[in-house]
Amino acid sequence: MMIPFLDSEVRAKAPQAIENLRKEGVWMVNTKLKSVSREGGEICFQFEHSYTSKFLRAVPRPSSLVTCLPTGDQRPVTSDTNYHE
Amino acid sequence: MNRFNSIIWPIIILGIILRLTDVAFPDFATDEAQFALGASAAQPPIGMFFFWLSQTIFGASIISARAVSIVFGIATIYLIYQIVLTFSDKKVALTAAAFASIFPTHIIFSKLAYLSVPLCFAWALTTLMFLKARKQNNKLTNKRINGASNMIGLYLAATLSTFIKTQGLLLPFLLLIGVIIESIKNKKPLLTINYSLFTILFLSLIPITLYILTSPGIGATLTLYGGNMYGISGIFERMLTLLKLWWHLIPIIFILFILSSKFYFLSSKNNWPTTILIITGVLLGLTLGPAHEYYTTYLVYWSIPIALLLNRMKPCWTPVILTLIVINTLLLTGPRSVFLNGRTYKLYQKEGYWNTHADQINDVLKGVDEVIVMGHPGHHIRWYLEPRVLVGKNMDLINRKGTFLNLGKEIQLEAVGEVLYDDEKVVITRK
Repeated sequence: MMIPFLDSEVRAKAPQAIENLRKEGVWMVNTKLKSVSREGGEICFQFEHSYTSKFLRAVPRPSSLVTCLPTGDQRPVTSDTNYHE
Repeated sequence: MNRFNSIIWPIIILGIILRLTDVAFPDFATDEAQFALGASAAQPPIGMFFFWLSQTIFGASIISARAVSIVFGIATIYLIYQIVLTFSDKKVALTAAAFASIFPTHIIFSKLAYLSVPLCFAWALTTLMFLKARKQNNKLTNKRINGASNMIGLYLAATLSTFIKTQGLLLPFLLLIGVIIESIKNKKPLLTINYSLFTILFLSLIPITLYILTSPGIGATLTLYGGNMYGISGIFERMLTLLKLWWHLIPIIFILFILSSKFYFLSSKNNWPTTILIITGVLLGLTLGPAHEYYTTYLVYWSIPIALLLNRMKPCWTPVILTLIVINTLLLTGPRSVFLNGRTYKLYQKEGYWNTHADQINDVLKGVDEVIVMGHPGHHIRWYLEPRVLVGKNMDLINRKGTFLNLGKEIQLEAVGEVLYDDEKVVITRK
């Protein structure tokens, strides 16, 4: 178990994780960080995303957004953002 | 008193009616939409909960969102009346209520879905509960149940303030400082006379402190704006901006406030909680953005010293001054079908673009699941548009196909394609 923001590497990667969501056109106010985990040389940020509008108020459709970034000792690879409806 | 009542009550009722006119006329602003849609990184949840509740009961609409401010705005008039009653007579309290009711900037923001009016209400409630609890404390009576209910009321009101808007913690915090100073001045330790007030205020600040510490969005917002907008850097420039704004919106009330300040702040030693309420309302604009007009909502607390000033003047002045304020209010925010003029508040000068064009744009976008907005979109775009809206400015769009909504007259390079819709503010393209 880790306490995410006490981990300097997590703090360093957090801005990039946010940037990845922005690249998908996400409104950041509609996201909530749910968890941060280390998986096989990557730090993965899992967000819950609920798009809101006047027309979608009655039917919230939360989805999960995961963005994984290589840790410092790994060779940089293309970061990936996966949508899981 | 009969003549007095015949002047005061029509003005109170007029102020309430003005809060109900032209409610849906201005476009939803970006902050209003953000709060009405219940998602803001910078604010705690209770203020937005009221908007959610209203829309859940009455349906999602601009009117049901703004109704929250209308209700809290009208309730604030009653609280100001009650606050004045704690240290003055009914006549002064009614005069203060009439001023609060007809207060132009409080009327304007009681018709918009910002969090300022709910917070303005919660601060007035906190002050009222504090005054009542303090009175009870000082009397040292044996009416323990009454005292306990005042303390519980104070705790709930103070906590409500802190959870409507992050800046809501300012008033309970300053009251806490006031309690400490009073104890030191009276050479009485906190643990005796003011023990309860101190404890209650202290406890009311703990939940919001924990909330702020666990909400990165609040810290991020402070960092984003902290450098230039928040604080006291360039204090003279800030003061000048603030004074210009007040002079522009409420010139007569501004003069009356200056006249009333002289004796109010010098003679209100025993009523420092109300003084803190008034000063906090002024400091908010000065320290958090002097050009932001929604901070003028809190100037409604000026009604208290102004009512005391009027009480010291000859009775013939009351109708004259109130008439001048009514004229100021009607010119600024009277029903536009009757009072539209050069001084009418900017939001009511002409119909908003989105209120008048959203249906047409949604017709063009019928069948489209998502639209990429180019330019700098506000949250109101999400409110008005039926398809899911993506923020284009950070996206990699070179080979991206889809529907694009360009804000402004020009089509962005990445969005060049077949033009589906074109007007003075928006161009919709598909590629």
